[in-house]
Amino acid sequence: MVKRVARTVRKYSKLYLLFVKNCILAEMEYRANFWMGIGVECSWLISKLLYALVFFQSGIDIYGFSPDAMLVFIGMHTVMTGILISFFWPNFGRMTEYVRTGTLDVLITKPVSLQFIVTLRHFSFGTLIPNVIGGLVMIATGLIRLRLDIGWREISAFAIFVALSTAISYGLFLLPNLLTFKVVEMGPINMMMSQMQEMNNVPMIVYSKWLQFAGIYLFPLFAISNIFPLFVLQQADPGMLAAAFLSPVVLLLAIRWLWGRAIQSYASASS
Amino acid sequence: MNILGKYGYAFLLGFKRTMEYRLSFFLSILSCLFPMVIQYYLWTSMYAHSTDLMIFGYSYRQMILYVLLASLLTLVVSAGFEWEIASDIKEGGLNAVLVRPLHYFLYRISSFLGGKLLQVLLSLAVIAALLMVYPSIAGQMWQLRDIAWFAAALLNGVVMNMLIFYCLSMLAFWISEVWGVFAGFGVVSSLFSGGVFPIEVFGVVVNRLLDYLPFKYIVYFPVNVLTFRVTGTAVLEGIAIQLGWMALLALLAQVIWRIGTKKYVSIGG
Amino acid sequence: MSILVQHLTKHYEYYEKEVGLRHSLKNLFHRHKLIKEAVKGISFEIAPGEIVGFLGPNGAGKTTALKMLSGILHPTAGDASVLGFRPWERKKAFKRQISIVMGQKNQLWWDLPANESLYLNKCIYELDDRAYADTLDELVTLLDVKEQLKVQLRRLSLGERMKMELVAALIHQPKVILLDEPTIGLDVLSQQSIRHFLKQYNREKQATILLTSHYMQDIQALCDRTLVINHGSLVYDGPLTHIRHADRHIKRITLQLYDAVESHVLEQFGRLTVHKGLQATLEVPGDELKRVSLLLLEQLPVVDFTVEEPPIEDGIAELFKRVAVVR
Repeated sequence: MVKRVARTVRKYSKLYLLFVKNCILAEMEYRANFWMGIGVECSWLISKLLYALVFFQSGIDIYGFSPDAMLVFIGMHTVMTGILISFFWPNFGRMTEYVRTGTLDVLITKPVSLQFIVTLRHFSFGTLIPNVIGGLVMIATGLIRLRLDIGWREISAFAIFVALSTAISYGLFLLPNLLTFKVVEMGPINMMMSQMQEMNNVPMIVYSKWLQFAGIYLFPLFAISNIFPLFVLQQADPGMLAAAFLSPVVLLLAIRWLWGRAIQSYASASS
Repeated sequence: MNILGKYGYAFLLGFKRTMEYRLSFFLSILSCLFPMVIQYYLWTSMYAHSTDLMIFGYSYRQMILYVLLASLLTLVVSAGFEWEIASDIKEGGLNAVLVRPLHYFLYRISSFLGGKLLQVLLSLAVIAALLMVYPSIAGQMWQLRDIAWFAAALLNGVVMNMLIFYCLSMLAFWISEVWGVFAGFGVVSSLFSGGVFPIEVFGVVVNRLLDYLPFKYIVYFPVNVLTFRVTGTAVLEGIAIQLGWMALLALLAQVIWRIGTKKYVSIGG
Repeated sequence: MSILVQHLTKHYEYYEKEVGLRHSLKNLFHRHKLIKEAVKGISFEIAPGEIVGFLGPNGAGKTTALKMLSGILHPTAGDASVLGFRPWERKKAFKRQISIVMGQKNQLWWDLPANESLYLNKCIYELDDRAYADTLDELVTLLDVKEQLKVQLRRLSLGERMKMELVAALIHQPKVILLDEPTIGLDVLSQQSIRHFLKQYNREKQATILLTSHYMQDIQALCDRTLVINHGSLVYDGPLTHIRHADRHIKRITLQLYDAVESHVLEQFGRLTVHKGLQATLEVPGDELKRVSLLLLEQLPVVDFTVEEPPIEDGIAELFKRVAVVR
């Protein structure tokens, strides 16, 4: 039993590394496209910095969080956005195409998890770099200006929370995309999702209490960008930390079940 | 074809397409909501923790009114046809249009406007509703004359934005990765046109720069006309500047089109 | 039995689309649902190592049937067993032993060179290095695409791409191979080499092959046995030669005249099926073709003259009428 699990883990890790390698190679083929992508991400970075600028220009402390603290939130959001659009969006965006061109049919017949191959096959290297670098710089700048330590404790906390937030992002943003199997026009749904993601442009403390509650415990959108900053600023309560660990589990299980249902309905409804 | 004429027909087709993708339509309306929500909460908490009653020269109610109106007007002035024009240029669809007795831009715009009609009507309806809720902010009631000035400023803003994106779309003649230009430009332009924050938030230096660019006249100026932050001769000045930009951009568009199609035809389409 | 199909049925729902602005507005709020019967209770058996053709006009249900046998679709009713598995249960062990190739749809990844795509398949099917290398070498040699392995897929010609697809499809040595329109859109040379390859592969590996096509030549070259499907039902199951009898080698001549000719004159040359203005279409038996053509060109004011085989729909329509006779 353990051996089988180990073999499966090995198989899927190997496959994923191949996916990443192949995508980077393919991306490097289109030099102009690659640099253009970097340019676009930089303009998004600029827009996020402009949000930060608003806080700094106003000089206002919200609930005791200074503009420097805000920088940590915006930085985390930038890093997580980078991860979302590099690892997951290139795949979620292609799902409609897979259905339309019949590629999904071919993938169904392969002895590999359909969810794995559909949601993780593509990876965008160019969009990752500016966002991760920019985000890390923002977080570090904020923490330094606040005279807080950046030691092993903080760095490992960061790594753990990034992993948890990545899982939450995967689950949350895949959810509406499961409609692909029924609805042809996914563009507006994805647009709505990216608008929702914009809500993390500002720290969640600006929102009302019940909205914050919903955003952490019911639909963990805020959990993605806010829990780590709150933790490192020593403002996170235990409930939030528990949610940070539990929501990925709940979401991933829900996705697994819903995915099965969606594919079932696809196989029964089409020709 | 009937009384509509060919451009009227393109308009109608654009409208019909909205009907087909009904989910698409409902959701595009809904997606306007999020920026409004974000801005509302942002400024509410800013003002709640501010020692001053005025931030960046706006009172709380003025700020909220600004961000809500700006959000709606951004939807009204938004383009989107640049993708189709770019793909026409890159994939040779332009050939079909160049040989027909059709003015390309007018055709694309008619189709585009047809698709936007419902969206624009709804946005304007919401604006009207908003204003009925906030009548006291401006300190005065709206006369027909005020609405007329606003309409003019708004219309100019729409045309300006369309011309800018039309010019951008023609970059497809030279740049194959023009999608990046649209995306990157769109992000920055929506901020600098005052579509998210009133441009005062960016500080003195940036504001000085924006005085020489067309952006602030697309959303920022029309909103401020409506909320009476700009009055009297300043309104006329602003509209004149808008007209000036429109003329300049139209000329630029003509020039780019001429150079671009020449290159396009010489390559063989 | 390699493949066993019993009363397999597939219905699916779709929405009626009507023209006009009023209907478009109505559609915003309510749509009318309809049911299409794609496959209506078909039954057949295929023994291991057979090559069987699935013939039928567009929309007959061939692709739908194939998709059910590969596990892509769930049937509405009926049962099927492929290598002892129920396809739509999609067990890993089942997937490892079958392969489906669909004409225009890609197995291989568009942005990669073929060998990288194939290597991905190696990992997906968990093939060991030795077996993979040997099989790969054998297949690319047989199909003569060894040089193209390192080339990006989008740079290959359609024929080369199709051959690579076949390599990818067979790299794991499947026991059952389902092919949906494998030669569609290919040039004649490629079509021939693929047919030749499939015949050889079947002979050497004893793999069961089920292929659909609406090209008669595919079926002729490869299949000893044909299943004819029309409007979702199986109308014929047997050797190809018997269908050819039904077909009677009819040839269709389309004439473009520069002077009007009366119908009764044209009818002397063959069966007149179409006569409109200066265009006419005649059907003549194949062995009469040469004689009739010479006469036509001599005696009639002919500007243009084309000869073709009547489309398969005609042959099958014929088949419908003759089913009782053949049985």
